[in-house]
Amino acid sequence: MDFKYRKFPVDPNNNPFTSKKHALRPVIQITFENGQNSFGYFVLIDSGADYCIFHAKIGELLGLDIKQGKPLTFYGTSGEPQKAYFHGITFKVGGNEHTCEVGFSYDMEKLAYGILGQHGFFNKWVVKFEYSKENIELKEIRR
Amino acid sequence: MKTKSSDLSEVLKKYSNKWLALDESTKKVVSSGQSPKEVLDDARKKGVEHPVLTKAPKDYGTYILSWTSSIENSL
Repeated sequence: MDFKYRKFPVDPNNNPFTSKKHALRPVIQITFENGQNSFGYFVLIDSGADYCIFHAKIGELLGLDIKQGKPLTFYGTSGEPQKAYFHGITFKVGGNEHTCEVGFSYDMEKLAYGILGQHGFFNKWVVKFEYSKENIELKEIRR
Repeated sequence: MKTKSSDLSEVLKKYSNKWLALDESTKKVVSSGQSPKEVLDDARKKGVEHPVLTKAPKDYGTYILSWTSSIENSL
């Protein structure tokens, strides 16, 4: 399956490269389907992330009792500890059903997207990034 | 200027620190608010049954993520 990179705004006051008018990121749409409660959500495919982490408020929409999940403390580049709680969930990636454990964090509120990381995503999909073609190719690993 | 659906740089830049609901096919913003539930409900009231949710950060700055973890309970 192929997905296009998406273009996002850049802050003109915080941009060392003036020719850069947008940020090109491997952000794809996933879909939650739960009867009438169906919606999409943007997620960043991040090969440097150990786990999949989504906004806790998205987990609440899915009916999860967030803090009953398995806890994890994680660190971004700021070095500040953040907390996530893992739950097993199912969503669709390009129409294909995908089940994995996702950490839901109330510390993600400043961030735009959920994160698809190594455990839960890269261990289930072969991911080929082609920035120059603005394309992401995903192939499910059959076991 | 026609904007491709993968190009969200114009449509999102007017929003700051809000949850957004986008029309799945046009990728236009149909609702903005303080929580995903609020914008999901509002989008459905406007006839968009299956919107795409995302968060507009305070500013779009630069993303350098790559998170590592300290596991309290083994997954």
